[in-house]
Amino acid sequence: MNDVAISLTQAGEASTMVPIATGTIQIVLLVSAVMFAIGMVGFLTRRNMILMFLCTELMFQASAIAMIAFGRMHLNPEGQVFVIFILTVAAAEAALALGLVVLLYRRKPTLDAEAWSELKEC
Amino acid sequence: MTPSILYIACVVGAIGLFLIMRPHRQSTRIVGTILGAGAIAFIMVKVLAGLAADAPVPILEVIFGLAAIAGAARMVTHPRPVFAAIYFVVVVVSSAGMFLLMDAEFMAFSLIIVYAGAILITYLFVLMLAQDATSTAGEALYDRIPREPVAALVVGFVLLAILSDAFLLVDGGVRPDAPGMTPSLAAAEEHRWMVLDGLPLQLNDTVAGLLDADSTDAAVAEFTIERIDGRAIRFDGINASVDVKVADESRNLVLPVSALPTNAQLVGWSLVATFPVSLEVAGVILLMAMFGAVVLARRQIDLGEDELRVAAGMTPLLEDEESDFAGGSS
Repeated sequence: MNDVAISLTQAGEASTMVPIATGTIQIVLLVSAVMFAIGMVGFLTRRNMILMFLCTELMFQASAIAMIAFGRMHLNPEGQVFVIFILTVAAAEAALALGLVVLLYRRKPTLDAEAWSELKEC
Repeated sequence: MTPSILYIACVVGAIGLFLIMRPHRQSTRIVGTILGAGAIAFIMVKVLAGLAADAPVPILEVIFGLAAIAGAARMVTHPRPVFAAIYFVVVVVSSAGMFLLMDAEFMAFSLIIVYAGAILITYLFVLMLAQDATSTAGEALYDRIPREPVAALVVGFVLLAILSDAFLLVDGGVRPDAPGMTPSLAAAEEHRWMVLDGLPLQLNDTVAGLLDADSTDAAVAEFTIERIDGRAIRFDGINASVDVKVADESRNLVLPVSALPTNAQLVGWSLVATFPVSLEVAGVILLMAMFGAVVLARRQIDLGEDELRVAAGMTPLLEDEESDFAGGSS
């Protein structure tokens, strides 16, 4: 019985119980860093209010990838739990931001963020 | 890979993104695409070349990563907002692919459902709602001309240089094979068995299946799982076993690896066992966001003096047929 179980453990080894390869995690973290940088550049350069919020979603996405990668590296499901919270915050942000954009669009019929630059107070 | 090579690649990538941002001429965009793709491909090749010779090459990760980066670059530079939103779907699907490769199946599919299915559709709705339907020019001026591209690229790519420096270069980068970095596989597996221990119904089903497969006669009617200090599963580093009492006879059953909880079960367990308060707070955040969206997007109605009186529970002053008639017809 024990021998059978041991061979089962070795043959049908669940893929989650294998340490992640160094190349995999470095590539994935690199992709996440590049996505975060691109999202940040997009947030700063886009003038369209909706697309600025979309760029923050891109940054969320990048950090979610990093969290999943580190969770996989430490064989710990808590990285994925954090991604659930990121998803929550992203959904809440989308609802609020889009409501805000609709409100602003009714005041001034443009999506240009510069239209509201008087809020800067300088 | 030395830091200077990494920094030069970051600068080349920044120049590439700068050229893609200027959609005046097709040729500059092509040059920018080549520069950006070359920079990221160069860093990836350098990373892969620095690995041990027998290390597995993460081909699928590279493909999904390149697709995600290309989608992201196109998203922040595309002059048409709707296309930008659709390029974000490319990013979401490729990152879901990367999640799958990293054994996060539950998050991969919930990402596609929640992001691509719900959030992106909301963005598209608002984009189309807010787009000027009367103008046929297509691309608005503010979508075509980037704001402060040089400063933004400097900020973004300095951040990228620092981040990738930390991931790839400092102390050899993030190396799970370095001493002290590797998690103990036995500890991780023990944690998973403990999760199964906390799922009594599933443990019962597993044990019943094992007993059924074991016994030659009819199905085993009754059994009790013996618990010591509340724990049924004992894990010795190789095997997990449970003590089962069947008809006053104690038996030791070794659980197969296939009985390990799945990814979704692990995530759910971690969610409710480790972060219960955060889960509640997340629910409150969602509820408040819903209220906030309703309050923000509600159309402000200007009430007349009389309607305010009615809303306050008072009787309207103009109580005659004329106003009733006007109210009924409008």
